Amino acid sequence: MSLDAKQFEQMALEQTDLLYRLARRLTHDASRAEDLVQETFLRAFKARNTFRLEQYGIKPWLVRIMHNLHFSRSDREKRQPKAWEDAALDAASAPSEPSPFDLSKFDAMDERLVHALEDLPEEYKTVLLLWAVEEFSYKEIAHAVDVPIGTVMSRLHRARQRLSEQLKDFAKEERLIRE
Amino acid sequence: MTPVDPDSFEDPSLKQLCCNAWRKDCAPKALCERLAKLASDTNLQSIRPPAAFWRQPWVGVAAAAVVLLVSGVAIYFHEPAGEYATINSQLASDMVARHDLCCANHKQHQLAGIPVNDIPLLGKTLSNKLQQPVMVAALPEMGWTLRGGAVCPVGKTPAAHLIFDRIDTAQVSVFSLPHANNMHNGRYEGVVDNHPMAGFVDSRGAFCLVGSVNGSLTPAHLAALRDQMQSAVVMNTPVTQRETVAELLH
Repeated sequence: MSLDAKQFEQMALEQTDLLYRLARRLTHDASRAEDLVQETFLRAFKARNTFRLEQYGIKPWLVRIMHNLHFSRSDREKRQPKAWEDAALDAASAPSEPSPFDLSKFDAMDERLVHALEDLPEEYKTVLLLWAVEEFSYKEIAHAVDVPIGTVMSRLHRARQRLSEQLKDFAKEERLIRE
Repeated sequence: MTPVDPDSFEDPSLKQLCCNAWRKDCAPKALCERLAKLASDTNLQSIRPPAAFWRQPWVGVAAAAVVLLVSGVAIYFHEPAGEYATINSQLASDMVARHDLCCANHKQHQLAGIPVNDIPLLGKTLSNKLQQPVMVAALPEMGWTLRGGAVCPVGKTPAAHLIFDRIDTAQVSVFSLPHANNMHNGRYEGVVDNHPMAGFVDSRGAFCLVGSVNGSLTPAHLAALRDQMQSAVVMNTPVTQRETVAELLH
């Protein structure tokens, strides 16, 4: 099915919140996130003739553009590898930057939970966000971040393991588990 | 490496935790405005025709005014059995636009991980995601098959959106939206932008059925479906943060 420009524009702009949420997780900074979203849309609008609705829908397509854009920027800026291997993700025990998350927006949520999520490596946060909040299937996530489906699932498992470890203190205080 | 069972990773507590932390993160209004402008600028650059009088700005404004006037006239609601309800005409048009867009591609219109025939789970998940009551039911005895359910924007408002179809290719959308100040409780039926429509508004929200442009579908048909579904509004009780973490660590 081909879309006309207006339909494409409408479908794409409806994904702004999704892309902004992802950009926040990737960049750790509100203004850089906005830049990344804007650049992603610019590329998407210019490339709309290459988009085919049947394959996976517009969400994975846009996420893929953002993901590639972010990692190619990171590659240039930091001279780091384009994507981390899982072993490297596991080895990253602490976040390289402090989390700039706006905790005041999450009154009902303990800040330790928010920090535990924000402190995960970018690739773990990406698959968690797409799976949990945006309801992507494994196949769509794999397509969007350009990894095999098995890698998507192992990242979800590892993210869960790390969160459980980080939340042990919280659980003890709340007497959810025994000391 | 930890062995992975491809079918086992369904973890509602982890989903809940991520949703609580991240779903409220929305794009700033200024960014949305910049993107809308970017879209129109990009379109103009790629398809700009030679200047003509009908491309002048005032012609566009006049045409928009005519379209709005015609749309307004096209919307009529009649009063069934002494009850009367209204919904905003813009909201009605937004639902029709959403219906047309999603029905064109209904194969991708289903929440990931939820079987399309699991109506209770679909209702619970949609309600949980939106934190509002949603109307979810199967209608096989009336000849309709549920093709999928998802959260879709209606205008700027996130709504639960189910799509049903029938053997004659007619399609019906069922929307559940939060209650707004400009809505009046009651039932309504009518035609909006050539699409039959029927629904009701009560303290829980606005619930609306929109039919495809198909000679066999009328507002009366949709009113019958509405009456059948009206008792199927479900609200999922949100779990607390404490319960979520306890489940995650279990």
